[in-house]
Amino acid sequence: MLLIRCPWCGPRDEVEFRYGGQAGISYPSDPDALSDEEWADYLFMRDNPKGEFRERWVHAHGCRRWFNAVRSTVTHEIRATFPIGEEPPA
Amino acid sequence: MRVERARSPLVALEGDLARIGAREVAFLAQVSVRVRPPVDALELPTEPNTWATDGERELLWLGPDEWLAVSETLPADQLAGRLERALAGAPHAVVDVSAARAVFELRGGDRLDLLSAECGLDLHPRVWRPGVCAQTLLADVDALLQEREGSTRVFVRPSFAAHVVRRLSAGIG
Ligand SMILES: [Zn+2]
Repeated sequence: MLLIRCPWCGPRDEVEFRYGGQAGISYPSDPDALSDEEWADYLFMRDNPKGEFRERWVHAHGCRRWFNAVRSTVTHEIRATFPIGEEPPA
Repeated sequence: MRVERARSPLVALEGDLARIGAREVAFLAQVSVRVRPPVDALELPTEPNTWATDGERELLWLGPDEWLAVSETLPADQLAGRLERALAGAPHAVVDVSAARAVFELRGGDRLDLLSAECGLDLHPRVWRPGVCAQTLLADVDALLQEREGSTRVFVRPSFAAHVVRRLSAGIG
């Protein structure tokens, strides 16, 4: 089981968390201006890197807060977790 | 308003609770507080997973902008009223959630071993000591644990309480 560090609660068992997919995808500022293709791209298309991936997690059975993580899709190592709106440490 | 014949959610579990060295903390007033700290009129603990008391009420950290206020001496409406007055001026939400969680208190010297059998948290006294609290999984369901001087309080959904107490008593065989 992974040990995931909630930015508030500290390290907790993976079962306390839920996964929220790729981080940093903003709602379009002017949705009406999007073509169908652009709208589909916003809704469905996600990066699928081999290596570091910035993603969202929620501490569902703890403080119930969303946060961001940088996780390697190869090793599952989580390099950093940090509040949404902040940058990960270099 | 407390009705004379009101039944607390764990009356039927009295025997099971006694087996694990616990008793129900019945009719504990519980009020949810949402506000962005700091608040001048209220000593909100901002260190995650800690709680503080001013004698008449306890404030448990649930999130960076969320606390659970509990009191054994004040009824929920008075507790909520005082919090409302303390928070006046700041955008906030104060809600009576007394019915949302059943509460029992473990007093045995082996209580942290008992809880550890059903909980992944590090409950070693080195880190788990009076003044801390945590939301976590206990017997696979959501629970709030509060460590006090000589006892541990467990807050769970009333409908899950029997399940949790049974799983804990299974540990003492
Ligand atoms: Zn947390």
